[in-house]
Amino acid sequence: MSKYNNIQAIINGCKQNNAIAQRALVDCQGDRLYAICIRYIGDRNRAKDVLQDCFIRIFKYIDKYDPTKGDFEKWLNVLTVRQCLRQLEKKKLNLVEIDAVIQNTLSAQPIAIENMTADEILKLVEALPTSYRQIFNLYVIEGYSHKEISELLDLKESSSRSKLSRAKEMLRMKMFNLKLRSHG
Amino acid sequence: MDNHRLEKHIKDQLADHKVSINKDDLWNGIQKKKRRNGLTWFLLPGIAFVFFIGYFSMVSLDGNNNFLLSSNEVVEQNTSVENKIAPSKINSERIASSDLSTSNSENNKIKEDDKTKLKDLNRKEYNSSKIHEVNDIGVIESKVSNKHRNFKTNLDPPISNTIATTNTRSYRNIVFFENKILNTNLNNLIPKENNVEKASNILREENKIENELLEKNSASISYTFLSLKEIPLFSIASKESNFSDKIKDGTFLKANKIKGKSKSHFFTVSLFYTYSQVEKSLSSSSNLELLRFRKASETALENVSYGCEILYELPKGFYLKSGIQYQRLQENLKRFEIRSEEIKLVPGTIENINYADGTVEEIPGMIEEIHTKTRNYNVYNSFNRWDIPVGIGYHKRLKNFSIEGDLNMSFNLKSSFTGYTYNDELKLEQGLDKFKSNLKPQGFASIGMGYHFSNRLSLFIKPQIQFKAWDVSAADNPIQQTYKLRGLTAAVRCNLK
Repeated sequence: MSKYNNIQAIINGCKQNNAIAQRALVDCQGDRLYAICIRYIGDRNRAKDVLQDCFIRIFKYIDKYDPTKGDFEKWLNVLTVRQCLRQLEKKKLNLVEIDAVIQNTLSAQPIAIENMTADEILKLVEALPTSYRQIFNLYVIEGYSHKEISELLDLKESSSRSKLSRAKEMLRMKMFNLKLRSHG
Repeated sequence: MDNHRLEKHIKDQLADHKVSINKDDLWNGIQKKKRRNGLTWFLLPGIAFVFFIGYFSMVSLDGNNNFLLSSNEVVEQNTSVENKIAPSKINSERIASSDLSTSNSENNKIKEDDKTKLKDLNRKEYNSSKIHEVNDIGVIESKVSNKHRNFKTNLDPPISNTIATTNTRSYRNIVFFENKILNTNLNNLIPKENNVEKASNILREENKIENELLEKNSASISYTFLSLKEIPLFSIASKESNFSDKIKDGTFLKANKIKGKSKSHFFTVSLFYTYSQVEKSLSSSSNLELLRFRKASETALENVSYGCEILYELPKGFYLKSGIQYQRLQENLKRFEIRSEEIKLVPGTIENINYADGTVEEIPGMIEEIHTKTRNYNVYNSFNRWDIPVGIGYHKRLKNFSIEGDLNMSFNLKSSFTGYTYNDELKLEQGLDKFKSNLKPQGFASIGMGYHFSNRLSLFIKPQIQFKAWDVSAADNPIQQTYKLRGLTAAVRCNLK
């Protein structure tokens, strides 16, 4: 039985640059971090590529991880999100601005989102334009405030708010369309 | 569903969501990228180092070289024309018309006279008895001619023991050493042959070679004194975006309740360049005359060193470093002047015949034209050394800036001297056996500040001071020669991990 059967042992092994520990970390965290990459990058093949960069950075900086300052998974999330945003900034992926957004068309429609699986929701998030997806992920899932997002992405707070609002509207619309298709 | 519920539901679903990925593919991809990154960051400093070495090899000054300071050419024509008096032009013409053969024979005679004059002149100019005179500092005229020729290979200075090999030029060279203590005799070079045309051709050929060399030397000077900011390697600019900087400033970390921490690396490759001011000191207890003479004539110029170091980070901000370093210390030995004269024969008037009726007839012929070229040169000496510097230091990073200080010992691998020095009799000599080939370990310290363009690349500027002077003189050298250095180091660093 491998000695890297708990997260603390894996962290210690990675700090010593142990390849077995690193592989164990990939095995236990790969799926979760891949989901984060997909959420931000939108394209699964590119997300896989970014995930590789994420792990390289994680191995590089793992000796800087201080357990007293936070949970290891949170720390991994931060590094992964940072790497995704860096990649998006570098490549300027699909920065399509959709200003002609649907205005409150679907807000009154009851959508059975509770019945949707995480994979289905993820696919809907993936389909959002990159700038909307970034803000949606940062605000809704990572819990950043609009002020922090505006500083991070170098845009106005009001712009962050409006993009989030449009992202939600687009999601609603996509959910509605999905429901319509599923009902025949 | 209201907005709040929608958000909460999506967050719950996606926060810890997992998407299956083939771990073997992922792991192989990571390994491949690691290797590629490692290779890139290993190659980049290597390429930069090769560039560094190549750059400085190209512009580095050869200790044997003499550099042109100024050049001047003066053309002087020998215009002395012999005047002859004849009864009258008419008579002369009559004589010419009545006895053409006589006139022709006279003309031939005049031409013969011209040739005789030229031969006499050549004999006078080139076969004088002033041969192989040696001046006070062991420099003779003929050697300068040799020196002239040697520009294309090894720029030997005038040295007395090579006199016999040099007297083959049919032009004159004169050397002036601008030293008021020593009176230099100017001697003429004595050619064995009188073929002026041949000599002119040789001179032309040599001038061509010399000009090429001088152009090259001039270029070297202009490169050597480039300021640091003009060196291409130091103009590297950050291409990191504002966005990345903002990420680095800890905003993300703060939001996730993990505070930002400065990044450090296990290994750092550093390419450095140091320019130092040199303080030269000469001392002697045995030959005070030589000491006074050398103190009056020699000046230390500059020290340039460059090399590659690897830094290994220790806990708490300390680091160890070691690498390899090349240093070149240069000094100015003497300025001297080379003057060369070339005699060319050009068409002109060699004689005027004044007739009684007032008319003057010009007799054409070949006259002497003297081209005098003057060039001023500086003689440079240099010490070259290869060292292994080993040091311990401490650094503290403050966002994009960092400060650091280190103490170092430099272990000499090899030391060499190129150039000339004065011997006990104040004559120029190659000083190969007067200097040590291996110097003692030398301590130096530096304190500096760096700017980090990214986590990979940083630039450091560090004033540097040496603890103990270089002692370069061999035990049997009557003059003890030491150098103290105070310099400024610029370093580009790449983090490997």
